[in-house]
Amino acid sequence: MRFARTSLLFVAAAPVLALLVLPLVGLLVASSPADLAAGMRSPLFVPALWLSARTTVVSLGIVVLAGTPLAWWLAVGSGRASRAVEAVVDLPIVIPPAVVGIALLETFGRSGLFGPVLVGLGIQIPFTMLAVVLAQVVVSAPFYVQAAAAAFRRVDTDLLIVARTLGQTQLGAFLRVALPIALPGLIGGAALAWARALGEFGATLLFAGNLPGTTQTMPLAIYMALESDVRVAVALSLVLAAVSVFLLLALRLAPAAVARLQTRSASS
Amino acid sequence: MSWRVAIRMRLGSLDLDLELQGDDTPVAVIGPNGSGKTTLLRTIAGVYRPDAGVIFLGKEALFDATAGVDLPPERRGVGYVPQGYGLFPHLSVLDNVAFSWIARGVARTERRHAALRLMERMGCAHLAGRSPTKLSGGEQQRVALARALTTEPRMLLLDEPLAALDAPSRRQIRSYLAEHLTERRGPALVVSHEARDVHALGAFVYAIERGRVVQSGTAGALASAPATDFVAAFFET
Repeated sequence: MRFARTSLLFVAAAPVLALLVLPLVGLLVASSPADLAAGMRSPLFVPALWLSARTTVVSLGIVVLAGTPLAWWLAVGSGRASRAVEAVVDLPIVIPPAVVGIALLETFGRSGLFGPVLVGLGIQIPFTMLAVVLAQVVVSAPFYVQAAAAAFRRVDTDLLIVARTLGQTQLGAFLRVALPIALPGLIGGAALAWARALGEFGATLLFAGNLPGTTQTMPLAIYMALESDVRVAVALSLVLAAVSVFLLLALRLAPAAVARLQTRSASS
Repeated sequence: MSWRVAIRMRLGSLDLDLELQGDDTPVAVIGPNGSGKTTLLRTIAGVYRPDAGVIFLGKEALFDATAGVDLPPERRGVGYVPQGYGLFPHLSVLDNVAFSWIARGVARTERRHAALRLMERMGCAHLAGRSPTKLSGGEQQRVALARALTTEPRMLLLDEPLAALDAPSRRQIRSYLAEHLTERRGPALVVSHEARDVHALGAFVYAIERGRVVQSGTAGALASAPATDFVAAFFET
């Protein structure tokens, strides 16, 4: 009876599971090593890879530096304000990336909200590398902030109280107790945010454009390559897929690894 | 050293209006769940800010609403052992006990030496290399008490120190606590939910219900003339 039910569930889930896995298999099968090598020699390949690496590292840095205090505030806050802010943080998850792109353009663009001020200062943001980073920050920050807030919420309040009575200031208790205990969750959130920033397409295309070397990240290069040479698109896709799988592994394994490391150093 | 707590505050649905005082004799706080016992300890530790009142330790005000005094927890000289002991899971037992010396700028090896010396005195040095997550409840309680004593607190706050223990380790820790609290000769406030613990500590008792003190006195006095059903039931068992 039990067996029948599980197999039934599996049959029901199979189409979706197949749809999740088969495209990746297709991608792998589609490319011969020669095609891959040809793709990597394309003039699109290296600049896009390098740009994606640089911009996502910067945007991840911004997200972690600004997102960690915000997540802490969301976790310890109980008032109406923190509930409201939490909802605002979720917005970019539900708003389509294309809409985020237009919204950014209407904010930092020439005729946008801050347009006159920025023009007066001689600063142009749209269609620059800064625009790429901004778009990535907006779409990826919610993933980190939510994961970090959840990790901070799991830290027992009593531990922080004890740390204070043992001489630590508020900041000290945060740095020496809350942060290390929440670390596995923070790493998981950072991996998720990084993956999201790496795949960012819609908001970047609309807000930063598709300028090779300046704003053409890997997903945009794939889009561009598809029009000329599909081998380049496949090569870029394989690299992006490999990085993503690596991030997924980090997401799954890092928290447990960090926890293990901490217990080992705790009992040594 | 004498101490006095007279506070009024609202915290969520809890309405607290308490007045307690004592000296070096341990004080036991008893009361039903949700009566404000843990809130009282945390308020003395400096986590919650009362709306009105004073908290005095000897002649020093830790909190005085009218004088605008409100010392942060790290400057109150109060030791706190929460229910569940509050050991830091990411640090070894030794580093847990050595923790308070960080804030005093003591170097790592020195604070570990100091921690080990104290743990030897308190009979728990053999646990030093372990992870706190691998300890039994009784062992955790010994370590938590040792750690709280590292700051040489002027007042010790213990929240249900024996609640989570099985009967044999409860007997052990009960006498262990009694011994170390008497040896320390400083004020101690112990939240308790068992009459035997109160007797073992020779404690003066405050019974709290719904945020108010309903009765206070020696354990014997409360047992012989309980003012409420809760107090009667508490000393019956």
